[in-house]
Amino acid sequence: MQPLLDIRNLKTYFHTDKGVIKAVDDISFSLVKGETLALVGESGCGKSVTALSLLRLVPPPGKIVGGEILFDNTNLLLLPENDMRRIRGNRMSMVFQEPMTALNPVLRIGDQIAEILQLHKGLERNQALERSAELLAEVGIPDPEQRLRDYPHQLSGGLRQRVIIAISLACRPEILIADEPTTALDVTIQAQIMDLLGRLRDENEMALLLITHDLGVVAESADRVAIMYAGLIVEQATVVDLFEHGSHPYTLGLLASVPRLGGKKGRLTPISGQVPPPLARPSGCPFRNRCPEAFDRCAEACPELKELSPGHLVRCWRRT
Amino acid sequence: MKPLLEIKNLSKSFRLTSKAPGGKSVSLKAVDDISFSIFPGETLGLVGESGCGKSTTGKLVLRLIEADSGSVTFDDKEIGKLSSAQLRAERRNLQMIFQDPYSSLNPRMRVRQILAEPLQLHGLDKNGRTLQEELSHLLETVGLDASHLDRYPHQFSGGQRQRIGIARALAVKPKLIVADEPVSALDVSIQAQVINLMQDIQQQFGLTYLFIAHDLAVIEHICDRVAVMYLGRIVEIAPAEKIYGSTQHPYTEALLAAVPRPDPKRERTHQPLQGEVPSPVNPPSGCHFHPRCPYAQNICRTQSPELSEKAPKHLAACHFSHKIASQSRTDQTTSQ
Ligand SMILES: Nc1ncnc2c1ncn2[C@@H]1O[C@H](COP(=O)(O)OP(=O)(O)OP(=O)(O)O)[C@@H](O)[C@H]1O
Ligand SMILES: Nc1ncnc2c1ncn2[C@@H]1O[C@H](COP(=O)(O)OP(=O)(O)OP(=O)(O)O)[C@@H](O)[C@H]1O
Ligand SMILES: [Mg+2]
Ligand SMILES: [Mg+2]
Repeated sequence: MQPLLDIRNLKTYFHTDKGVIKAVDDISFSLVKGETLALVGESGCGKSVTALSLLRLVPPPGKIVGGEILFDNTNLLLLPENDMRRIRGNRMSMVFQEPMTALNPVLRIGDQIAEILQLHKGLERNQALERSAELLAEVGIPDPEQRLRDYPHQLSGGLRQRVIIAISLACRPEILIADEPTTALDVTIQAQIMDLLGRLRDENEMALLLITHDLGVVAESADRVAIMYAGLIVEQATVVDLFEHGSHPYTLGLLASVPRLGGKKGRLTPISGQVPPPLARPSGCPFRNRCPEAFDRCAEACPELKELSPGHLVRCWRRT
Repeated sequence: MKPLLEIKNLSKSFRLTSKAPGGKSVSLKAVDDISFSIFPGETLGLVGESGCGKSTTGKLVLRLIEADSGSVTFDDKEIGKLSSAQLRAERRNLQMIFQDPYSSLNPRMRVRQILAEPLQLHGLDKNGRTLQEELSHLLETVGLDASHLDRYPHQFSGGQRQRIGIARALAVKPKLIVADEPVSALDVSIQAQVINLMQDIQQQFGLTYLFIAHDLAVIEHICDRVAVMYLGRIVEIAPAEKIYGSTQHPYTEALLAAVPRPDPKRERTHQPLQGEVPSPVNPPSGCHFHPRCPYAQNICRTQSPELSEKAPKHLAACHFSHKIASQSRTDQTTSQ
């Protein structure tokens, strides 16, 4: 199937006094209509910067320094800012990582949703407010008309996240990017929100880019998975392939280190060492100083992503 | 065996003053009449959703805050009755690891000072070994080394900072450590390192843990017994294998059902729990859980169930726990 979104060799760097932080360092993936791709990796590996790059919202001193982002065959990186604004929040929208900063604290919920509908869909204010109430109902908020008049601080964390999702879905986007949409929430609320996202994805044939570090959430919600490490995708596969035939030593390390319900007691198997700071990444493969399988070649050059089987890509000298 | 820590009918409310002019202040029951004990060498897990009172319970155990009523007895001494000098001395045996590895270490102190402080406070810095030796040894125990002594907290990663927090708690060789979400802020690969470390030092020093967390898989992995809290109350307490294998409380059942499993072929069998956690300022009548409970009947709205023994060593506060037990048994048989 023709991908809806096709990212090719994307690079986003931060030029700081201390050096160049390669937050996203040559990333390629695509997204088709109606599917969920999970982007997984440890803190600082570049998940949020990837997401912000897609919407061209990278904060300075960050800059997209290379690659293409093809949305419906148009390269977004070549689009004038005015055209980009018409896409953002409308055809492609995002649920941001920090739920506290995603809503404007001094605006009523209703006004925040209506504003977007007025901007992108040209609705009158009254129509927009009516539609806002429908959207709140759709994401499972009780008494939606009442809630329109509330300010963000009057809502619990779970309700606030529902409002944020309602806002991001207001214009029926073709692509939704959800950056850790449930990380701050309790498990019972997380389960509700993930069910909601899945249902809305199916109803609207939306493509979902789900950013998370929770392998349980990945297993329950994603169709495909991309594992990131130090600004690179190190493995990409269908969710079943990844969990059953995961191949990259980092993927295997992640899968082995999570305690599982009903799992064996005794010692866990952590990945040794820690993620190197972005300005002190080792030469060659960035994972090599933590990798149990590293050998000479890993220091010499960074391996390419190679196809192990159809749709299953791995970046590792041991696997090529 | 005698418990090392015994908590009886402990309660703690906070006053919240309304911001509105002339608004009345309201009271919030953060911990509502809880009782439990922990035996030497044991790890008791305390689990529940945000705001249910886990951290408050931890702080009450160390008397970092004062209880309204009830008692905490540690090593045969009632903590609430100690003078401040006695309490300071007792803290040698009773330490805490805090929830946030980023804010719990003083940013202006070097690791050397952070670790030396509790030793000096308890006069343990002059017992043969030099302080330098003692501090190097402590850092080695938690997988760091003496070269780290002169660094500041901001020069460490989250996992390393959590190790320093553990080293600080260990410095005085306590008997009990209250660990408040010690791994929640860490990435999974680092989380596994810290969990292994905590288990190793428990064996090495014969430590007892009150282990607070909201991650049910982590709790199952590390705990001998588990207490589940909801809105300030303990709703179930039992050996870990009973909590996870044959729960007697609908809330525990719902929590377990909501945990996403890293197995893409598994079908979720339960509907997620509906509704939000109610406000602790104005909790529901009767059983606090009744508005979200699929088993609730009239009695649940009016009568708060006692925490009582449903099976050997297995306490739950539910009028209909017999229904859950049969439910999960049918689940097991149909999945075979
Ligand atoms: N404004 C900025 N200035 C400098 N560096 C930045 C900035 N924003 C991000 N970075 C760096 O870019 C890298 C990737 O950050 P990013 O926020 O994408 O990580 P992440 O994978 O989303 O992590 P987390 O799981 O913690 O959210 C990090 O090394 C980070 O330090
Ligand atoms: N100093 C305080 N003043 C007022 N209310 C407080 C205070 N400390 C805690 N609370 C309230 O008491 C309740 C229990 O809080 P506590 O921090 O013990 O919860 P918790 O279970 O540790 O939650 P979390 O998982 O979010 O850490 C919450 O409703 C909280 O808002
Ligand atoms: Mg992020
Ligand atoms: Mg807490």
